[in-house]
Amino acid sequence: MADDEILDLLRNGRSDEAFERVLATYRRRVHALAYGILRDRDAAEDVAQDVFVRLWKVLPRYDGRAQLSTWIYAITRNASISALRKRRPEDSLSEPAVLEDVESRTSAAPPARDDAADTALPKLVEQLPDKQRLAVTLYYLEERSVEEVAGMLAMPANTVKTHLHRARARLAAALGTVESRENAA
Amino acid sequence: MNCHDARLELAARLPDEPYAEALRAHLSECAACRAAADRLTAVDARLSAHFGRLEPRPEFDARLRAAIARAERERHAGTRNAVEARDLEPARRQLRAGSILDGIAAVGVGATVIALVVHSQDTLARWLESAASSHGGTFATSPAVVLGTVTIACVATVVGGAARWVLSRRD
Repeated sequence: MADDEILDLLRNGRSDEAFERVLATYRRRVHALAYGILRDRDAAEDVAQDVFVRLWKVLPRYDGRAQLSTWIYAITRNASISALRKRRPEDSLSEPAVLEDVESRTSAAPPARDDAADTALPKLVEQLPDKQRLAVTLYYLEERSVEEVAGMLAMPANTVKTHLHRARARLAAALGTVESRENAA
Repeated sequence: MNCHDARLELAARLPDEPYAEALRAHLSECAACRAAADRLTAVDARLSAHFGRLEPRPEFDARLRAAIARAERERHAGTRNAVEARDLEPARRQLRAGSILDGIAAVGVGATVIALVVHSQDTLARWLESAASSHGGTFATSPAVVLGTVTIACVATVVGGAARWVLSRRD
């Protein structure tokens, strides 16, 4: 509904107000998506800033043909991937490659088991395969909305659910092991 | 419901979804599956607590406002430059046309004088004396001096026109 109101404001030439609505609605989500891709808080804030400056410039020309959230998330994904590419120039990353399932890269590494459960969680999440990590990060950041996460990642909702289930099962198993070791110690 | 189905259903359930009746019944009588369900609930709670705290830092908004103010200044400066360029364009066109005409005239005059000198310095001298005497005077200046003066004037005119042409094309 916020998107409809933003479009109305734009059609009435009130682009400054429209931008304020965009900022209020998407500030946290844009940052979350950038963080999910970049895994770095400073870099995510830099990307979020760039995204909103760009939105401030182009928003008056937004005509409503594409869904606003889809458009904003696409800008955010592209900006995040560009930032990732600059940070890791040796990788030839494309959006599908970044979002592609790269389980082989991370699933081989066993989850850390030498920390207490509370402190182990960020590390365990970090060690998830990319898509599972993105799904978990955005799902819990975005008030548990599978549809919202699907929009952010340009994935079908069922695919998001699958990644989410796998990630939770993996985390539950890893945390169970961590807790067992903690109790035994 | 057996344990296998219960585990599948637990794995497929989203955190906020209520337990189905059959699953609830199984969990009430199976400690192992209940423990598995509790582990998932604990994971959900930890993930919510972990990611629920993740927000842009407070200074993010101030930085963003400053970046937007910068972008706004740049946009205004860009617009002003575009307006100035548009307003100056007719004058620039006139300047370019004037440069071309100056150049053509200078080359024409220079070529004529040079042709006369090459043809015959005497002819030029006679022509100049005749022109001077028709006005009741005499012409005592050497044709070489006349030629040098005209050549310098033509070259200066061509160079000046070229310079104006170049300047008229710069922003």
